[in-house]
Amino acid sequence: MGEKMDLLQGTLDLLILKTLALEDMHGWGIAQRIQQVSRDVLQVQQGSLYPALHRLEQQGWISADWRASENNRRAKYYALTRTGRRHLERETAEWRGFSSAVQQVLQTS
Amino acid sequence: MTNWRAAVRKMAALFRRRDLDRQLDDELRFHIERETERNVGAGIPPDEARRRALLEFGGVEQVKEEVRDSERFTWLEWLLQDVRFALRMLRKNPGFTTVAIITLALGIGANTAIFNVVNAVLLNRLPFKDPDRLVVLQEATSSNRGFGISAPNFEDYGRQQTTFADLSMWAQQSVNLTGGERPERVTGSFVSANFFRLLGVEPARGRFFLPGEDRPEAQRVTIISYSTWQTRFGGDPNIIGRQLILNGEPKTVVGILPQNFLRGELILAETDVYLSIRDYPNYKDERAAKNQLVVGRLKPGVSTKAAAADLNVITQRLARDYPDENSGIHIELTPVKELQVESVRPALLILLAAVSLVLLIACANLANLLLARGAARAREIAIRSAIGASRSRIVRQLVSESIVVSLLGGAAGLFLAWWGLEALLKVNPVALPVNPVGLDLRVLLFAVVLSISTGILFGIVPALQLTRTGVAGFLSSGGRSTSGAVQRRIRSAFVVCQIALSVVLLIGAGLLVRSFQSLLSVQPGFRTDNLLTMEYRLPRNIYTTPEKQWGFHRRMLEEVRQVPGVVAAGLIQGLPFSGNGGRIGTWPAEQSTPEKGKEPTALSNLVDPEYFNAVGLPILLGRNFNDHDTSDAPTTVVINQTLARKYWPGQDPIGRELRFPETVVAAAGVNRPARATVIGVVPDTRQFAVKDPFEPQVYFAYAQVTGIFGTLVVRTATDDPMSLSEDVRKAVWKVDKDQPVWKVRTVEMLIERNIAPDRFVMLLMGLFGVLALVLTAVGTYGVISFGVTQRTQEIGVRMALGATPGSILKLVMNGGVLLVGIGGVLGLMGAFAATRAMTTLLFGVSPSDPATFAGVVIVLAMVALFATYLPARRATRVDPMVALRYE
Repeated sequence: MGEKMDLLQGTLDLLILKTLALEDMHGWGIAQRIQQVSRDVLQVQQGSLYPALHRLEQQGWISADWRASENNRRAKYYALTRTGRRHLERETAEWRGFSSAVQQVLQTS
Repeated sequence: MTNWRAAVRKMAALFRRRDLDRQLDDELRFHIERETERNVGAGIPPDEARRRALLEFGGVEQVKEEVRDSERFTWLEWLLQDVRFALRMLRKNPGFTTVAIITLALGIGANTAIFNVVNAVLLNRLPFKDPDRLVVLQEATSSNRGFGISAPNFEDYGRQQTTFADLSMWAQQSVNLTGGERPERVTGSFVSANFFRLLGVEPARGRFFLPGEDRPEAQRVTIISYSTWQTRFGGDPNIIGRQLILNGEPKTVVGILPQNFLRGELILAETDVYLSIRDYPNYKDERAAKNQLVVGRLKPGVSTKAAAADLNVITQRLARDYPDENSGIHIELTPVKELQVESVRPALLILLAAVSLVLLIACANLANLLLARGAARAREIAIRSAIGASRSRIVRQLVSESIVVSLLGGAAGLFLAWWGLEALLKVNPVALPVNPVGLDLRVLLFAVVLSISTGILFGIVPALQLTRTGVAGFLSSGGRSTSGAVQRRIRSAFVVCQIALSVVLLIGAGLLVRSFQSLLSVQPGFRTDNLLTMEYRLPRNIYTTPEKQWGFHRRMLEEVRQVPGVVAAGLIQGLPFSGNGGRIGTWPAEQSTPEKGKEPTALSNLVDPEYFNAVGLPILLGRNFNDHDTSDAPTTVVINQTLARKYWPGQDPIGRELRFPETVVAAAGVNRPARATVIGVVPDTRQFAVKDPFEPQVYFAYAQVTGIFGTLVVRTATDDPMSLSEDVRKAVWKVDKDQPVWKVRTVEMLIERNIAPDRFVMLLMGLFGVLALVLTAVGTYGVISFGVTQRTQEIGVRMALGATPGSILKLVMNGGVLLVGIGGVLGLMGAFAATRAMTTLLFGVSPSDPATFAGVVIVLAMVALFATYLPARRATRVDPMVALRYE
């Protein structure tokens, strides 16, 4: 059960980073995007996004500041930092490598 | 940079809890609102929309808890992790750890020691209520600063002033304590009845003076100090109500001062007994008797300037109403705080600056050390970066290592400071205003804060440098740091700074050494060897007439001269270097009387005829006092060369007349005559400090102008004058068994006491200078040596291509010479500017003394070049074959 949570957490982190790689976004917006992209397959409670966001912020991979949102209300926007971008690239490369290795294995068997 | 912002925010999270909570609240609320809006937009009624939004979100409070937990927990966890890791790294590198701890112990320890003294002397609050409001009042003229204030004047000030809440008189003098085994002398302070109430202190036991207890008819009481109660009276629980015989009169002890009152002494001598101002032997109800100081408490909100202005209006009125005594007078106000510390402040501040430089030099060494070690740690850092640690994380962990080792060094330094200061004071005892060798919470805090700051200071640059290259950079360069050039420049820059700072420090120390040398070479003006001295004061109520007083002096001297081992004995009122001495206005009779308050002054003294012989002062012109100079005969004086040259340059002063102001009452409380004839000239002597210039001086004879205070001066046959002290004392008591003598010491001890502070400062600065030199030499050696190691391949190639050992030597040393050159020039420029601040400490040498500057440059150059030469020589021994294979 612990492993599944870690996996989930790691995946969630990646998804957040990926979302922010496209544009700066506030928490709710990230939640919408993730739901869209995963086509509702990933059943993650929206609330669990926020501990992840704060953790990523502390680790220095995303940064936050308060801005006016689309409807002029104040919201906390997150952005990808340089180290965060690098981390994302590394992880993505790893993932691709992993998935292609899996594909190869699956193909040859 | 954004990483740093996050790191700082985490630290701040602890303090900004409420603010962050509110922000989190806002953020989650925004989310719920948007989700609700979306639902409404999809056609769901508002209430239902909100309910679904909350459901979709999950538990809001839960989420908040989770976020808060992650922040708090992470911060603390990382701190512990860092500390544990740092300790492990330090244990794995005992060499570095030892060097670092020793260096830091020296640097931080020295700083803590000096700060300890600064804290005790400059920063500690006096044990009075609102001590900033307390000032000391003195009268002064333009030519003579610092009279006391007479009792009638004091009354007038009290009645007419508007800026003070309270005023009190105060005088200090030694007091005879009799009735015990032997007569003793204690230090007494004579004060008005409101003195302690003005200061705002409460008695530890009993009571203080009652209002009106300083009137002539009041019962005479005394208040004693805490330490007197403990040491002299053994902490006697029944001391209150006991009677002491002070100056021949019985006084009842009614109160004891609190223990911490010592620190509040307005002059550096501790007072044993407090008596009413009326008991002051020099107290006179005459306007001319300016014998008392006045302490005042300013009203809240009143500045010293405003008070001085108000008082000077009164002095003008007094000058108008009583011109004889008060012409030309103005009021000088000195805050009580400044009284204690003015003399030592410049020396302490300079020492503080010097010791900070030593710490900076040490930091540079450690930073370079870390950079050099960085090459070995590059692999570890790269791996950690690859795992996913952000740069700020790694930097923070590296800096934690520096802070941890710095705290360890600081702890060692604390011990060093405490032990070192005690040792230094034993070698060179110096009367510091307070005992600084105790440990204060503020000093402890200082040591901790300094340790942490030092750790950050020397750790930050290497940490940033070492984490500059990421994994990719490390792998591609095969383990060698690609930013080697940058690092080399940083290391060189550190060495240049070290050399510059060392130059400044060494020049400062060198100037102080030369200053002390010229101090030692100063002639006091008389023979200072084999001189035993002691002071005494005759009680006025027993020795009521001048005849009786002179009778005692004369008989006492006769008895003392009978003591075996005594070569000569004389009497003087203010012995040079004893701290006693007075001035008097005087001018040649043929000149017109100068304006009141603007009379030229000379040092004034009382002697017996044998004094000059006893201290080895020959009569240069004219004659000494003799039996004809009695109280019936016209007053005669002996003057010194400076006075003769000042008033009768190029002429014979013998037979000339000096005039004195009519109604000035001198310190001993005896009227000086209005005119006197010069009968002799003696060489100049210095009166208060070895550093003083020669001043004009006039000597009166005890037989003619008598006084109750005397300093006995005995020249002994033996080299150890103190061995005769008991015999001499017994001789005094043969004349009056109740007459105490005190301050039994030799003149050499007095002079030593005079110059001890200068020697103390010089020794400390010298120590710092040597420390700085050693650190710089080590640092220079380290950097050049490391450079050679790094360039081993290059050197091997050169040698393989035919370079001679000599050219390799030159190659390496050129680098060193360049560093020394730049550092030296910067240091000289810095020294020119910095030594200007030392002028107050210097004696007989200018702040830009070329000999010192040149000397320091030569010494430093030699040391630094030697430090460069050693690794350079190693470079010439490089085997090209080995070097080329070196990877």
